[in-house]
Amino acid sequence: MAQDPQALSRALQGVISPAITEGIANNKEKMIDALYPIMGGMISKYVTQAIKEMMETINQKIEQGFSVERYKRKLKAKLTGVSESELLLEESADAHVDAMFIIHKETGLLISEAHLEESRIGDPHMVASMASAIRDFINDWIADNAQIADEIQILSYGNATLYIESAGSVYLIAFLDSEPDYEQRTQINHFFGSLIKKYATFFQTFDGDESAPEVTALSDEMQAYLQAHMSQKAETPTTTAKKNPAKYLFWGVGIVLIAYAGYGLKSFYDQRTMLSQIVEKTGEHLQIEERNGKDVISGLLQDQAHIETIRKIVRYYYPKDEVQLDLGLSIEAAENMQSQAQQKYRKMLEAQQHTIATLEDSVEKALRISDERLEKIEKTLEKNSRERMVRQEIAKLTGIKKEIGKALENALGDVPYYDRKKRVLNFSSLHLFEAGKTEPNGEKMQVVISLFERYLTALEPYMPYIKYVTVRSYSDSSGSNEENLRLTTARAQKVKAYLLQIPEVRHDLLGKHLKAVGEGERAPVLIDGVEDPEASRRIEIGFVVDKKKIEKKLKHCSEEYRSEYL
Amino acid sequence: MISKKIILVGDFATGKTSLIRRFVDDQFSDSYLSTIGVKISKKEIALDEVTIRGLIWDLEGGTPGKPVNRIYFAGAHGAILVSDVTREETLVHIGDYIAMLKEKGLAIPRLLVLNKCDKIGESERNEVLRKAKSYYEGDIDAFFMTSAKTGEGVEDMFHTLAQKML
Repeated sequence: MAQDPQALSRALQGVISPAITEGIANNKEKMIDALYPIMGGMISKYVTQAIKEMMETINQKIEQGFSVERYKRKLKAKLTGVSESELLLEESADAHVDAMFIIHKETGLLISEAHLEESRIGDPHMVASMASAIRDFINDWIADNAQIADEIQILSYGNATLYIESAGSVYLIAFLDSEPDYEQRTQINHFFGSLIKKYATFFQTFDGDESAPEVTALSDEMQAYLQAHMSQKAETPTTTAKKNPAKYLFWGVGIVLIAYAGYGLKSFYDQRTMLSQIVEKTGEHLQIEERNGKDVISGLLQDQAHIETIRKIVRYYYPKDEVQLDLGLSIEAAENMQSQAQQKYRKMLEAQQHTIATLEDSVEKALRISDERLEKIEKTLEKNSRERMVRQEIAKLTGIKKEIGKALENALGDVPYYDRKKRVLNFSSLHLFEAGKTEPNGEKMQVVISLFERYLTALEPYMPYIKYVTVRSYSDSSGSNEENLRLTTARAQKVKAYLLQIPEVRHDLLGKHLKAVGEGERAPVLIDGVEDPEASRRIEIGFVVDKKKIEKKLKHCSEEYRSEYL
Repeated sequence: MISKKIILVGDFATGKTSLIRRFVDDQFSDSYLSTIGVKISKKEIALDEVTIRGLIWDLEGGTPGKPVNRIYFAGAHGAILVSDVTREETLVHIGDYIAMLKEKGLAIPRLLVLNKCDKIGESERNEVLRKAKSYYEGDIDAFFMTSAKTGEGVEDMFHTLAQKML
């Protein structure tokens, strides 16, 4: 028997087959575990497909069990004579692919497009750019939120669905009338893959020039795909049935597969429960599919805030994290999110504006109060200052001669010609004139001029109240009185003429107040009762206060002081 | 025909959307601008030997609280930077946009548009232009006085940009 393998096989067959059958019947779970490593890789995708189909069928039945659609279909079946099952198959056909775009990823420029005759898109170049912008916006948002690693793949708006595949330097977009199922996505991806393989270099070097032959070739290929897809749909029931090899294999694998399907059903039941729970808690309708041997939960969320709740529910059913989330955000939700952000921003802005307005108001009030206080203080200070000035003015006016005397003493106290008692410059000892002469000695006149300048400087602050600055001339007693009066008047005029040559005197108002007076022989200088004729021939420089002006000013100040400060 | 991506940037209320609204051939609704921060418009510019199809990405105006979304800069072939001659700060901010373009590594033609020029007199125009050149000479390929209201300078500006993008 060892030399005849076929005989050995026949002998064992009678024993092993019943043993396997009995083993499966008695302990299904263990048998599945034992067989899965061998069979699993081969059959898992078919099983998944079979389960997916069953799930879709159940979903449809649940959704349409009591719907108007069911009665419409029944009515249509009666009227047309087509069986209800055929109509059901027709309804469950693929989503309708209306158009395809290939868009340069970096620039958003349309490389090529194709569309069915009845589905012409207004301006495909603008649509391509806008679709690219929307996709960039959503991907940017997703990246910012760091919640979903994958790029957005499906955009739905109203009845239109854009299935977007990102590949290298391009986006490939299929425009459909509803969301494509897994099988259809696979078909589209297969076609997209063939285009990428063929035109990859062209895509990378695309510079916006649509006259390139590749643009036309691409359009032709996509057009052919769209037409073929249309034709395929037209064939409907029988083709659809033939396209599903999973069912044959499902039955062919026999009892092992049934057992495995049972295992899968349990898993399916859990998934349905999980999805129902997600709907119940969040209102979000998601799907589960298998990609590369791993369960993937996918769908477009209506509200980004549901993500955490969904994660919690999924974590409960998949505690070992053996599931992948592929969630996107619907355009409506993105718009809503944008709108909420804008509202929030507007409110913050309004609050800030209100705060600024309040602060401005407070600052304005504080400044106003501060200004008012400052004004009061300034008025008080001004009043005090004015009062002090008036008092000083009164004091000054009442003792003006003494004041001038002090000023002259300070300026001329050390000068021998200054007479502090009479507050005059007395040049008797200078011997300015010779007997009978009217011309003063030139050198001695320089002394007079020099001291006169100092005298005037001391008087300057009091000038408003000084009526005259006088140059008085006196003679000795020899000769007639008339002759002496003429002589002294001439001498006084001569001296005045010299003094008027001083620039400050000539150009100043002082010039008008400088008065020359001839006094004659009425005041000779006597020493021990004897006249000193040389000393008698002299001049004296003094001042006369304006009494009327002083009295008037004094009166005014007194009245002001009484009315304002008493 | 050759398609080119043009980005239009500038501060809030510098008149970008008015330039677009009046001078382009076709455009999407303005609601996209406030929703996703960009609006696409199209303008075909006929040159001697070729026609350029400019797809203009009008980026939402930058404000202190909401800067321009730079993701839309990618792949641009030309940039129109818009300032308002009646608001000097918008001219100052042009430097920020130039910096953004440089950060993105975009060595593309850049045009500076001094918009709303109908609102100022001849001497003020000369002063604004002198100032703009003193700020950005070397970073800008061409300076234009424009007015969306009167149309002054707009066609010239698009024509110049089209030539520089080839």
